[in-house]
Amino acid sequence: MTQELLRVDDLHTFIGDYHILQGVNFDMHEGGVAALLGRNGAGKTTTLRSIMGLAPPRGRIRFDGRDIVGLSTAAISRLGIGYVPETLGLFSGLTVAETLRLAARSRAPDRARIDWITSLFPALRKFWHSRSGNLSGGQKQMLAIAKALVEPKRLILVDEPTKGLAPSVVAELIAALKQLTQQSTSILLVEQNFHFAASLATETTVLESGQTTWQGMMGDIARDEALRRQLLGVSVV
Amino acid sequence: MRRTFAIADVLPIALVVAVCVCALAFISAPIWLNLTIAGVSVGLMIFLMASGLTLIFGLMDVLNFAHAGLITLAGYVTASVYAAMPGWVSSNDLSTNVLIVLAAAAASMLVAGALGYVIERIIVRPVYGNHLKQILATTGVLIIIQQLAIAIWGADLLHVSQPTELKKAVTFGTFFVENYRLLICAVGLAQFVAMIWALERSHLGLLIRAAVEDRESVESMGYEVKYLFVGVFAAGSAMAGLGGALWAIYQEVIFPEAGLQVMIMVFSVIIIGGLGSVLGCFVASILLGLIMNYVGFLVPSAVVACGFLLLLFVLVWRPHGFYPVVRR
Repeated sequence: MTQELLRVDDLHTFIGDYHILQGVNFDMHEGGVAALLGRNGAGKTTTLRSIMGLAPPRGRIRFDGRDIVGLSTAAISRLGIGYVPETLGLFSGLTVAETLRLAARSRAPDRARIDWITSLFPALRKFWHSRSGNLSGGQKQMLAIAKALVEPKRLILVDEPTKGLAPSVVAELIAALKQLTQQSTSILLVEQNFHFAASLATETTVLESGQTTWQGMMGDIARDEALRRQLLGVSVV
Repeated sequence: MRRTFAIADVLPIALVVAVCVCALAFISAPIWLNLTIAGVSVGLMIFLMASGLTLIFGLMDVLNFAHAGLITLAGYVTASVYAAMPGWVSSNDLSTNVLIVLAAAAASMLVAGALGYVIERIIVRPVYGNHLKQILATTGVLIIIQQLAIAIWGADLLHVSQPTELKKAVTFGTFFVENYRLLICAVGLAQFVAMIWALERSHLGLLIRAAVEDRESVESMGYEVKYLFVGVFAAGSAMAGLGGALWAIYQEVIFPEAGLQVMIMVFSVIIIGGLGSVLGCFVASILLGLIMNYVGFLVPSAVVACGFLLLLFVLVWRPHGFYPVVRR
């Protein structure tokens, strides 16, 4: 087993008066893909936001052996965690080139890194000088992931990447994310599309009403329909 | 950023030209030329005072009524710099006169910028996103600045004369323009070019535009946005200092309510130009300056009303202003 990269212990998060996360626990290992599954409102997105410091949590989050609760979002990012929110977090007035330059935190981003990213997402090269507000849904998703990758990251948190995408674009996305894991970047994935999650993830955590209800290998839940029905209420054909 | 201009983008500039041409139908050519140059310089003066608030109100969405206090304070700082170097003001050397104006402007920018930094850290940061609290808190700051000014400099009008050589005019036949107006034009144009370059071409400008659109996303890329915003607020306040200093010299007087008196013009050009748009603020300022000058010549009693009518006309024509960067 590879080294532990992320450990979340007894995570509690409040949004206003609402106690959203009520004890989330899970861990994931370096170089892997872990999926956070659960019904709508289970607390998946809030878990990612808590890890990034966008929804300040109580409890313990250790990344690469370091406690990151209480750090600013920017400091957490600089430790090597990228975030692709469900809303994509793009800037409609900025071009693809400007967005990646900003994300690289440099006037002159590493050329080899940019070439690698555009080899993952060739459409970005084609629309290099287009404003992100004018891109298609799939292109926007690719840019959002590219934005999180332009600086080398050890872990990226990806929230619902397939939402609203055509099947052909989803297939492209799976191929790109698989390539990414070969570059020693780990992925923590929140996803409603079980097929997509199962095609990428090795580890899985299931959340229900803000609590961890199950953690194990993706193979176990993918093979056991009864367990899947019990935990997620879905049947996969 | 590559920006493609549509016909709609050219229309506000065409409106400025149309106003000039219409005025020519009512005013003889030599007087029209003098009024036009004077109007442009007044417009640039308004731009200098409004450009900082374009960043603070337009981009950061902070209703900063303390801006008026910073304009007033800049006038008083200018009066103090003048008092410290009276020989430079009365000197018959143009370069010495320009230097004293620039020194007063620099001191005003420094004081206003530093105060802006403190205001953002202590007063504004806890009320981001809440306009009502922003109005109350920054109005409180405005009152404090006014009362402090009265305590330090007194409640009476303070004379801030234009330096000797800057009062003189350059003449070409029947056309003339004062040196001080030329200086204002040079400073105003330099600030416009610098702001456009900084916002459109520099890495910092990219960052500001991105943070305004999605603060969380920028923080997720590793940038500490709170430091960026305090920097923008301090820079906007320093610009209020520059505008306030040059306005006090232009008016040749400073008093505790001076900043408040210009805030209607300042808010008008920000709204007419489109929230967050430096280009819009620039075009709207020139337009307002020209209209005020032409109307002031033709129907002096209608000068105050013309600003409101222009605002009303633009809001009906383009509810988001000339070139809105952000739409709220």
